[in-house]
Amino acid sequence: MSASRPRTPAANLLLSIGGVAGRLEFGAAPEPFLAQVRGRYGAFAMPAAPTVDVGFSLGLRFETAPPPADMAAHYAKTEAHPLTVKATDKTITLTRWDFSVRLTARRSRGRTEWVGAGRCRMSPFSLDCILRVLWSVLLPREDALLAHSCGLRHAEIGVVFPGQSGLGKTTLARKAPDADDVLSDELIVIRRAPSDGGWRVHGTPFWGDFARGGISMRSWPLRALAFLAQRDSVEMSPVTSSESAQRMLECMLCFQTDRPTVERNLALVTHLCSEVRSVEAQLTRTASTAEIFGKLEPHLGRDVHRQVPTFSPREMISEFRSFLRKHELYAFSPKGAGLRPYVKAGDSLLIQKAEKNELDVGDVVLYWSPGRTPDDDVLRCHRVGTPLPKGHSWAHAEVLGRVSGIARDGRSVPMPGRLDSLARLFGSQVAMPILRLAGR
Amino acid sequence: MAEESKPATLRRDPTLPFQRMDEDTIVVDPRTREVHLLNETGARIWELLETASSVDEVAEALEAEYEGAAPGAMRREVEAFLAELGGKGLLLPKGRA
Repeated sequence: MSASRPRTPAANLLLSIGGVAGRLEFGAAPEPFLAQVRGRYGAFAMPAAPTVDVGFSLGLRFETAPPPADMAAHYAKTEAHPLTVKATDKTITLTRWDFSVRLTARRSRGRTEWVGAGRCRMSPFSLDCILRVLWSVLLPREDALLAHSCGLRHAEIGVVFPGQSGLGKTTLARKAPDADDVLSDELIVIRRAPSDGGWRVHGTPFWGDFARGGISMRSWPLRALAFLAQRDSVEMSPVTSSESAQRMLECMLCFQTDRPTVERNLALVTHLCSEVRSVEAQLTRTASTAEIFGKLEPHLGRDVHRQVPTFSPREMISEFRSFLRKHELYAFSPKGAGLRPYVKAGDSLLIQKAEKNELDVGDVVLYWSPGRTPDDDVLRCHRVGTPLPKGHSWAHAEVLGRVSGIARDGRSVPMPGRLDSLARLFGSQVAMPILRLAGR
Repeated sequence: MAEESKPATLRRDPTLPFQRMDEDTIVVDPRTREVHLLNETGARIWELLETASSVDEVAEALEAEYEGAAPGAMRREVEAFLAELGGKGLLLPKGRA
């Protein structure tokens, strides 16, 4: 007789990938499985506030299945039930041997939210497939696409290296001197920014070999599409817009074959490829990223190193969280006179990574409170033990860190005793300086 | 006396999405998931095949538009190109929806 594993009650996960948010409500599942899920998608998870505009809400019931005793029968079952995707303006259904999901469209406040439920084998691979397909269906409806590509951040811009399996996406990603510059080694999102019409590249949690990757939701201005090709020497050869579109369509993740979807994708890709420079990146297995970007430089345009602000507060806060997760401590210098006399000119505030359960009454914390849209998210300071501002709730907020001190004249000095006042000031004054300064 | 047979005519499959891009045309076949890139001349032939046409009709139209084509060469090239498009399933015989 075997003891059953403890199951964690239903859990929520709110993900934002490529600017499309999706709410997942999981049925009961063992904690190790949920921990694995949180690990893979953690960099793209945000506080699960009910007010956030989402592209979809999906309730998933997990089903356990013992390892197949008869592998031949198992393979026959998987072949008999391949992935089927049907998407119209009213319903989206995804079925495969290991999952079945159905969502219906609901119109609200001038936008569509897909709401549905389904069952899924308790396997991270099954869940990952559902998510990849859902985002591949929803992104093109928002002028965006999911593509088989390695995405790299270079200085202050992004470059996408599209290519099918075997052309070196993972190899290229592994060569990056700083792993944080890799947006994904397998699937990236390219999206037209509604504000300025420019194209941006977003990382995703969808990495090859189920590797955990991606550090934040931050996107970068897309400067070049560099189609991968394996050759004996490193060269960059310009390709025409139409060639680029043909190659991009071959790399775009799309499971639908209906005419309206194909026409929409075709129009999206032709716009992308006529507006973004394209080259064939002929690479060798041993070429370094320095050599590759040296050859790419003439194709990247000007101001590659010019710092640009994050695209939205949501992206900025997500990136700020990634810094704290990585470095545990983060210092920034607030601009302006809003924090005087507590913070003097030249001072830096020290923010230490902290979780909700590590806080004491009196601590001044930074927390992320999501709004309806990515532009409505806020990062606020708050003194633990005092009431939160109206409309904010700890249940729907994420504590990022604790203000642990002030760096002054090369020394770290403790926070002043008047935390109340400081916290009040932070609440109104600190959010924007952090927004401006959190960029690298 | 046997009736003189009419030359076979072909037209592009009207269900296939395509997009003109600069001088070229991109044709997507959702059934095979293949993406075809037609160059300037191929794009013009694709345009002509909106209505059912024979090889001769297409070749004559192109000869009128492109100067310097050697007699007979254009017809051979059009014939080969249409065979290639037909082989990829992008064309329909006249009358089929």
